[in-house]
Amino acid sequence: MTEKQTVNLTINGEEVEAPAGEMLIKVCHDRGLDVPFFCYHPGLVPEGNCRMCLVEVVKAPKPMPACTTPVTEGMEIETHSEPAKAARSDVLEFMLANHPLDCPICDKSGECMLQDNSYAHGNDASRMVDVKQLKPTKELGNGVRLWGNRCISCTRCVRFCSDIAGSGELTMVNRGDRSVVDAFPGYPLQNPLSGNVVDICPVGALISEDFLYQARVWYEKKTDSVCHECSRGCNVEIQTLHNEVKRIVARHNDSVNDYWICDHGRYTYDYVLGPERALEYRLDDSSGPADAPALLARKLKSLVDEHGADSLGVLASAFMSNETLYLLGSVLKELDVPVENIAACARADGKEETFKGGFKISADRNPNRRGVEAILGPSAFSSRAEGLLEKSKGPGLRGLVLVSDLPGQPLPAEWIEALNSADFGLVFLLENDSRIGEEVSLIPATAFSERDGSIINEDGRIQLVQAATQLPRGALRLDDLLQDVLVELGAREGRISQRGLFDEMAAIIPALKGARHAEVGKTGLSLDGGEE
Amino acid sequence: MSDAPAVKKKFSEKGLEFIDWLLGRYPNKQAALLPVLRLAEEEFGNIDNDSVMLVAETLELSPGYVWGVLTFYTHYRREGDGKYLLQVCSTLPCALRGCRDIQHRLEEKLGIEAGETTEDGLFTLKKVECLGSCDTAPVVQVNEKYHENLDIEELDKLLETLRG
Ligand code: SF4
Ligand code: SF4
Ligand code: FES
Repeated sequence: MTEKQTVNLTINGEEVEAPAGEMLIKVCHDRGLDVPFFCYHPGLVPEGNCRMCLVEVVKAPKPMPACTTPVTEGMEIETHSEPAKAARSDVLEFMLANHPLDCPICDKSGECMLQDNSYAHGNDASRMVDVKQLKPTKELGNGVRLWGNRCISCTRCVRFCSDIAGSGELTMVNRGDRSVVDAFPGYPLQNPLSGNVVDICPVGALISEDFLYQARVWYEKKTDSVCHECSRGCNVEIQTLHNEVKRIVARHNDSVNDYWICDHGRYTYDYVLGPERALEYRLDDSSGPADAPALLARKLKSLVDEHGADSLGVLASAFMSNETLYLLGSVLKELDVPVENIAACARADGKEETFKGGFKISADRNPNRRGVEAILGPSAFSSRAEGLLEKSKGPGLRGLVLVSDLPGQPLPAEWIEALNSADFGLVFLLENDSRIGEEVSLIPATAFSERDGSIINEDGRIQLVQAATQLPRGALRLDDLLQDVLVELGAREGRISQRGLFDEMAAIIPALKGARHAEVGKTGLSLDGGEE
Repeated sequence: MSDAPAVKKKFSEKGLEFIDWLLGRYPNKQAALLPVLRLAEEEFGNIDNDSVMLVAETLELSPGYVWGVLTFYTHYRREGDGKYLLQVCSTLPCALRGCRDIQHRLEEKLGIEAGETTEDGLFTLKKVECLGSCDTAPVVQVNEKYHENLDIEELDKLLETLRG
């Protein structure tokens, strides 16, 4: 099959052309029609077991499941005829026959497909008089807890484990109204992608212990962002309540992560408000964060004026956004600091893993190595970092500014030594580090959930990060601070928007190829000219 | 999975030969699951978790998958089942011919409910899906043997004989 063939059919009386072999449900959804479903998931092989998607196929003896019925020439479909609606409401009645209806204490409530579908397609009252089947509530592994009574046996989680993760821990045991999901004794859920089963469970049968009773989902604020835990840059939604990250869930992006994220990316956020988070400002005895831009501009300027531009060195990091790197570069350019004095650090490599369904965890545990290479140059991590460290041991280098925002990875001892012995040492610090001397100036670094900006993943895809929480205690974000320093240095009139900053940067940095903020959108833009 | 429990059982030489022969008849290993489960049941007397792991290893499947298939079917003899496995067919033709009464009579006489085993380990009572003998409904299968066209009187006699 080289050429894509199409077929003609009618849906609710309207003529429709669709690719041959496409499933009816996709054709309906693409046209904005509400065909409800449970077991169907666009990222999984269809199984057609729940029957929620029944539609009327004219001349067919009975309603057909839209998720496993391919479109054919001349087909006539009615999605909202009386027989179609009756079939679906009957299916829902069966589904609720053994359901506990414990929405008030269920974490899924508010984002539950059973609630939504019942509301839109079900009956308003139950006719059940029989005793309901009871099923176990238990831990399945990796912090995923099963509420068996709520399971509707859609097998989404089973298919995820066998086809996407490739480990096949979950299974349906028993049959009929006694069937329920379980893991074989001694083989608990333990694949590194296991949290996705909680995302895709259409009901509250699988709940993550990490999020258990943490928040009612309708009170949460939801922010589209990008995972920072490796250079895949999986698209995520950060959910917060009262300025606190409550959970991270996958966001669909065909070019990066499909519908999935790994457990590491999902559950690594506690450090944002953790006990080790560095929040202290120490730039001058008396001043607070508000004075930081002016003070910093003055200090850097006088250092350079007194000892020459070569006396200042900077170590950036592969966690910083493109914009922050660009602003940092602008400040240093303003001060004429030579390029050799600008280096960067990155987290050590982890293990690369690729799964049956194609999902990949990268060995590079940095979100923006490519951005540093694009903006500061590829040698920033290697020869320039070594050179700067060497220089710091001599008398020439008087001022040293370090960005220590790599989660879980403190600065190497030799950099701390260099920092402590500098005339003016300043560190943007994410996590407390007792080795840092009293003389060193401190400014809190922003954590991943507090940032706006863009990062570039290992495939050269530029994607937008958005702040989901505010830095505690009204502290200044590094990018805002740098903008203000530029104003103090007379290089800018005032702060400009994220959008403006992006467009300005992309026009100047060759590797960004003049990309526009508006083109990057929710799912990013490939800079390598890859598939779109 | 490195920390998975070790497989403790082994099929006999003859069993392995049978599996080899079987695999030649199927498009892939997974397709041979039901007869290999039956083989495990024959060789070990019932199917326990160790057998599930052995079958999974033999056919390169996850134990979860094998377990799911095993528990879907009601007809395999499971660990802890009594000396006599009484399987009461409960599908439509048997239901129309009074299998509910049969089941209730057995529950009453044995003092257990369907799915349970008597304390002396003699009887396990199971309500199962179609036994394929609809023309002689109602049917109770005792181990390998079918007892057909049963009524309560014959059922009582059957129990007496089994009790010895
Ligand atoms: S646990 Fe959830 S995803 Fe898994 S089969 Fe049950 S309802 Fe479906
Ligand atoms: S694979 Fe990498 S980017 Fe994706 S969720 Fe995991 S750590 Fe985050
Ligand atoms: S969504 Fe079609 S059968 Fe479940």
